[in-house]
Amino acid sequence: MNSNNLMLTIIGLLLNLIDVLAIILPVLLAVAFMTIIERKQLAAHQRRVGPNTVGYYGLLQPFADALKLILKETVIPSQSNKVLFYLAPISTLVFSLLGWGVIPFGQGLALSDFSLGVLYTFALSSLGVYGVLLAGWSANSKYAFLGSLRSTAAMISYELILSSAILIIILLTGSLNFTTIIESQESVYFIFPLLPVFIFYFISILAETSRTPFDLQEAESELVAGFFTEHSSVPFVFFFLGEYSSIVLFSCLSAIFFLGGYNFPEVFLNESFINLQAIVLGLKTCIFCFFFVWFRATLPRLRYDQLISLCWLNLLPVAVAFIILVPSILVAFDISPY
Amino acid sequence: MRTVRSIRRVGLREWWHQMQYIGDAKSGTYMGRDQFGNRYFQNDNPEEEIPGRHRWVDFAQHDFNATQVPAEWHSWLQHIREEPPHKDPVMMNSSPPWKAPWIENLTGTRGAYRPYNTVKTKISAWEPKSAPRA
Amino acid sequence: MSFARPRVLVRLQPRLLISPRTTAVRSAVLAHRLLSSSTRALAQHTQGPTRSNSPDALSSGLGKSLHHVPSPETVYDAQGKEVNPYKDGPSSIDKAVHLFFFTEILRGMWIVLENFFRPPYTIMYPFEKGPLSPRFRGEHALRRYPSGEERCIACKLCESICPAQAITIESEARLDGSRRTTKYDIDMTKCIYCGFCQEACPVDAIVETQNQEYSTETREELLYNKEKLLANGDRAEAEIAANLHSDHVYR
Repeated sequence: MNSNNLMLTIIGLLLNLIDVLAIILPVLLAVAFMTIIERKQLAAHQRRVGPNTVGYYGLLQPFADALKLILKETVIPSQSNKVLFYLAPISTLVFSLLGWGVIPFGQGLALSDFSLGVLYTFALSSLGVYGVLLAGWSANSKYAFLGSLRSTAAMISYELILSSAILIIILLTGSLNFTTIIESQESVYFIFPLLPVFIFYFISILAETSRTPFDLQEAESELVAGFFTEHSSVPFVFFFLGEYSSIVLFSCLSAIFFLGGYNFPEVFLNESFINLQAIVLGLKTCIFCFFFVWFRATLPRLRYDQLISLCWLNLLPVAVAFIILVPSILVAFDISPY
Repeated sequence: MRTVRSIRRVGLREWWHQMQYIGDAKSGTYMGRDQFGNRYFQNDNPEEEIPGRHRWVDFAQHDFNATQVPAEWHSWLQHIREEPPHKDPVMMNSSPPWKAPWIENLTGTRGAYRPYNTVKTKISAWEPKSAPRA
Repeated sequence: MSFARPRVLVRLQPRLLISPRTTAVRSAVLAHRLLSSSTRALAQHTQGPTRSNSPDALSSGLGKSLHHVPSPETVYDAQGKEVNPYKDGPSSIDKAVHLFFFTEILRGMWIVLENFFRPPYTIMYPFEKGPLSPRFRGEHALRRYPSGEERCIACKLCESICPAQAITIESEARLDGSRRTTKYDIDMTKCIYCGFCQEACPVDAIVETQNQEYSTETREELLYNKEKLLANGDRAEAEIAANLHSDHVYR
């Protein structure tokens, strides 16, 4: 009886592990292909070809890159804080991967569909700052330190805009649960009524994932490579994966918040044999990934004071205005969901 | 779109062959073949091929190398001559009977060129000649 | 000039017609033409550097409407009348509209997106090659007469003109009495490919061929001697002759 219980526990744990692996492996694969997509798309925007020799049309390039990076020598600065130096990339990767735990890939297809999912995601994206901060501090290098300072300030500032944008969604749906948010978009995707909100939401996730118009910690001309200047080989791979994983994660989140997640017009869904919902979510995520790279191809980098003043002087008042406006409309027409 | 059009024109097998080498689907008119079996193509339609990409070679050897193109075709491929060498009267007339066969760049192999002196050395070592003893 | 003038007139006409009545609506119609870059050009900045130009364009939009901006110094024309330098430009409402609806950013993004759907310009090198001139100066070669006799007469003009002193020549009289080189070495690691040697040559013996793919694995292989140069010429004679033929009308 007792051993039977133990067996059940072990099997349960194994099943959990398989669940987690079933999410993490596709996510890591998606992240790997995100890197090649970014390079190919940037190339296409600039009318180049991009990587095209490793595998057909360069499809195996991410694996070649990963292999190269893993085979490289890990250089640790002698004056660095070794524990933090290793902790930083690991924490970056882990926090950005943890965010996938609450994403519903289909109806009831989430690792954990608990009622405070949005809050959990926010907590994780705030924790992501620590990876940057630790990396900059532990490397004992000016460039890494400056990069991490810039990145931290930008991320903390834009966290505010991001939360305000999501707050509006929460006000509209009356729930912090991802599934409820998706279900409430069955009639209309939030991107249509909330287009201005979406715009400053997108600006803030660009800053949050430190993508091009706001990638000040990677300003190559000023700071060699930003906060991971001193990281090489595997720690660098972790940073890289963490960065791209958070890009894909935020694309997925925007798909959930603004494009109705796995929702799809009913006509196509009913007779589906395979799980179309996850594919629909994937396609919507791809749209936002495309946007990320498109912005990177178009916009030049902002100056640092412009970055901060854009956040605090321009975006924040607009965000606050919308936070007041949207509930006012809800109350005025008596259509609030609670 | 361009890829699909090219595949439809050259067929799947040829496309697979192109993917192994040039890494892109291209279709055009066959211009000729040199003594090594390299095939040359041209597509002058600017809608289909960006100008500058309109002449290309399909190497006969798997271990391809830019110097496997003989001089006559080289000047066609580099857009120096307009006509391919077997249609170019100037090129055909200027080929002398003592023309040497084309060899590719053999660096890194045993056939690589090694410089040597073409004149007699000005200082020669003293070679003692011993007089035969009686 | 006579060709350009009517075109300038045509382009200016709509602006001249509309400029007297710059109502907000009217100039909003023109919005896509009068974006801020062109307004800078239209506004007559005779007063040196622009005032009220906050250090960053991004925060300036809201800042202008919230905070009091000192009014620009008045500008006077030749008759001493007051002139509003912004009269012909779009109104501040237009500027605010452009700022808040990201029109410039959207235009830029549209251009980038357009190019996404166009084919790349990349030339796949060993298969496709960029255009070369018949005068291109690449690997050197020594030529022969059509009879097979080598052209070089060891006049050493190329050796003396070579700015990098890459050429070394030694000559002797041959058995039939003609002067020929016994040594014609070119150090290709010294050569700067200026083409002076082929310009100096009275018998078109030394030429630079269009071959640029002679990279080697060792430096040693780049110290060419006479045999190597002659072999280069023998192999590429058809190409060299054709290039000289295509260029002879200009010489």
